Amino acid sequence: MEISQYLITDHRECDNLFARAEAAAAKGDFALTKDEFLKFADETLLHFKKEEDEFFPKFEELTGSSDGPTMVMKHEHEQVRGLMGKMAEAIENEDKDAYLSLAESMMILLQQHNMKEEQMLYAMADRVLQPNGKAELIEKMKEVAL
Amino acid sequence: MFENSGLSMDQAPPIVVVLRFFLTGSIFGIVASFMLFFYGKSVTNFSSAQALALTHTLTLGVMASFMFGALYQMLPVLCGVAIKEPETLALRVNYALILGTIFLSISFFTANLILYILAALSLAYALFTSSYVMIKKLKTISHSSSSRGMLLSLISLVFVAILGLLLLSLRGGFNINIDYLALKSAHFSFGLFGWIALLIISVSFQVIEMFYVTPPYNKRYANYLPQIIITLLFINLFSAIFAPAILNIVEYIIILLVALHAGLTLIKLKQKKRAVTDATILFWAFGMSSYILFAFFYTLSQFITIPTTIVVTLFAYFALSIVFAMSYKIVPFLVWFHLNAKGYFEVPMMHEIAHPKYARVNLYFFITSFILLILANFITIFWQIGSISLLISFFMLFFILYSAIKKYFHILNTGKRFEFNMPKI
Repeated sequence: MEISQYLITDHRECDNLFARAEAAAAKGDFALTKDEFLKFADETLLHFKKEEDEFFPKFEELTGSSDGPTMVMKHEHEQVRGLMGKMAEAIENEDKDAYLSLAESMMILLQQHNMKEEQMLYAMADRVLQPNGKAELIEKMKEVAL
Repeated sequence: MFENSGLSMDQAPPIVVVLRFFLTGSIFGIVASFMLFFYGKSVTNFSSAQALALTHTLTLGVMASFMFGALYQMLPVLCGVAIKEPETLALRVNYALILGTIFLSISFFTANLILYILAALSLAYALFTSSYVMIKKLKTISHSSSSRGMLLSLISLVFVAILGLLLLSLRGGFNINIDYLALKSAHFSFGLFGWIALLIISVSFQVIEMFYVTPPYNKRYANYLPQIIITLLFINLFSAIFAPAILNIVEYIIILLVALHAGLTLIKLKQKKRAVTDATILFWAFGMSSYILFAFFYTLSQFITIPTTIVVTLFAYFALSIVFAMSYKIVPFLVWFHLNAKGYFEVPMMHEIAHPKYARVNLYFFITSFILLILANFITIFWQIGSISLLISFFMLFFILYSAIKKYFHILNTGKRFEFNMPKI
């Protein structure tokens, strides 16, 4: 399996969970929004952890740089985490307009972040790593837990 | 191997680069609405000075301004293409585009040689400089279907500009041995389908899936469609010179291919996973529907008499719809993103910059103007009423852009922020 295939599947799953939480919020059902949002947040944070604990260190090892693209990606992860906190606050306050507004920012932020990872980092890792190296990295990422 | 990969992720341009172009575009939209109000029915004669001035205000003043603004933002962030000193370059291009559009529009009325020369120089600078920098950068990266389409659209723009300058030379009295009508037809085809339609297609590859969480376009389709369209445009150009008999067929295939994409985009939008249908989706859907109607009426016009103005209006609303769709999505996000990334405590949310209800009212005025301007072909007074509705649409967009800039600088100057080390945004 390619690195991109494995990690892009995570991205798509997060998108689906995000859309379900947003749909619940649009209906004003905050109990359901909370459930769906927690699933989205858990899945996204787990994906970040896989990248930060396993993928980025491997990428840095391959490129010989730890202050390049991975640093920007980690910074964007922080932005997403911050936004998640604000979205959780909007759910607690049952503020539909605030949630939908923050969701809009979250969606664009995540998508442009994902696009950079998919088009650049994952693609590079796929080009550089040998098949056994890819398999080993994917196994390590599968073992990561929150 | 990583040095030349075009990997540059922290080089989003300053927000003013984008907003300045967008603001200029919206002001030209207001100017175009006034022109339509005062010119009225005279724009139906496409060779008239009024029609030419209006067309170029819309294409250069509105479309090119919004395109450059969007590309300065999208190329570094989404394609990994870093443009050096974007602020200085963008400012120069912005001024040259404004002056060039004004000189050109006036020159159609005065036929003054000095104005022709000033228009040619300003527009050549604006269009060639930006396109050259962007094309040069885009040639170095490994392409997505979107970036490849943008590259081809920019190449088409260069071609449109060269053909436009030749036309200007002929109007200015320079004796060039080229058929004026063939040149005009090529300028028209490359402008509408090579530059504008290809640009919209490329942007749709990037943003439809990303903004609305839709199923992706088929990869092979997305990779080949822009290349097929540009190839057909060149065949079209050569057939205009060497085989005029097949000219209409080639052009018609291009029109149908873009219609196919418009239809496919409507299907994608219908399949979106996000439950919320905001005004930007409706602007996209309206634009794509307008293009399909354009293709339909174009086909019909081959058999029965249909006012050409209707066909042209349908294409114009296809392009302008996407301008509104992109502005209402990009601008609130950029203001939020830049302030958030700079670490300010009180960052306005996207809805506080442009509320969806406001965008929806803007959409209604836009659609009303469309209906009225179509009806104007049959009831003359609707030229004026339709242009007022269009004026309100562009003014609403201008107001949102202006207030977004005002809010941004207000927080920049007065807001409190976290102090921490972070990559340059």
